[in-house]
Amino acid sequence: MAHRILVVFVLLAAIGGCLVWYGTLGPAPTAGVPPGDEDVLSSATEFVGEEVLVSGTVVETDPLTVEISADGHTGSVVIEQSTTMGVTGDTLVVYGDLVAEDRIAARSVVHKSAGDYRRTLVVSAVAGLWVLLRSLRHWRLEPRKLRVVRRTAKERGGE
Amino acid sequence: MSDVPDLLTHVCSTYAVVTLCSLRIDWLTSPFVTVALVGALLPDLNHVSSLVPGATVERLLGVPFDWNALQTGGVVCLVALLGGTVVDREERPRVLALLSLGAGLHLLLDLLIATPDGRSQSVFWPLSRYQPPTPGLYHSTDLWPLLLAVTLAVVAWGVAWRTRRRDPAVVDEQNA
Repeated sequence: MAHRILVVFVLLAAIGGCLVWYGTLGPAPTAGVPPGDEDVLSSATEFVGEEVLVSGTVVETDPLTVEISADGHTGSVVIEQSTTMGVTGDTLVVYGDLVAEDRIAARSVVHKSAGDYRRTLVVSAVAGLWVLLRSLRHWRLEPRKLRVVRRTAKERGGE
Repeated sequence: MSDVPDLLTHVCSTYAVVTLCSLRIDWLTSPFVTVALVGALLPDLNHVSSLVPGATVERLLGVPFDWNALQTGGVVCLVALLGGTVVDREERPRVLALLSLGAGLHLLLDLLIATPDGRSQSVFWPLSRYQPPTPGLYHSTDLWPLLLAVTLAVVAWGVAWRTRRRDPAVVDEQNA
């Protein structure tokens, strides 16, 4: 059991370390990671003239404006040259050139209507619940031993 | 990074694959099918950010932090290893294999999603940040991948049910 606790601790530390490490990474356009929401919000001037990828909610349609948020900050960006519009409340994922600190000339836009987005959340919750119920039926948690045990057919009441 | 299809698409497609495999693999009983379904959820653990935003963690810890690392191949492997560690030794290889299968199918489906920049996710991180080009097969909020996955899951369930009815030995194995 001591061995198991040690391995769990090491793995949790490694996962935690990766989450911190990932948080330190900036954009890497050559690897296909353009500046994103956080970069446009915190240091837009640095990226003016570069291709950026942002995701935000439509707050105005004329001019098309999306509100993006990251790290507890929010800001509005005007989207120019977009053939995809959407209505207020929809989500737009925009790839384009940052022509000014708060303006993007769109190259390509993915549109998600607010209704589709809500449906995705609800359906995902159903999936999570299904897997949770199956897990509780088939496996038993022994927190003190940091162990998960497969239930026998007798415990499950047969299937 | 919220650009992912709903979880039910992932869970149903994994269920279809693993249920059909269970007809050929004796030890692949219902509890192990469940393990593969848990694996299908692993790459979306980053959605915990809806409850505890990364910015909140950053403020608490005083260091940079990004939940989206949970969607990378390397961190998904670590989480699967964690799952393998908490089960008994004799279950470990099977649990590890099925968690990896479910998570792998999830990452594979995510790699096919249309994105505005034509690139998918940092699936190879921490080895590389390279985001492979996506064929743009579907959008994350499209309904048809969900309907297809649910149909495949129902068909697989039906095939397995008929097979077990015809062969009671398979039923016994499922209840083992």
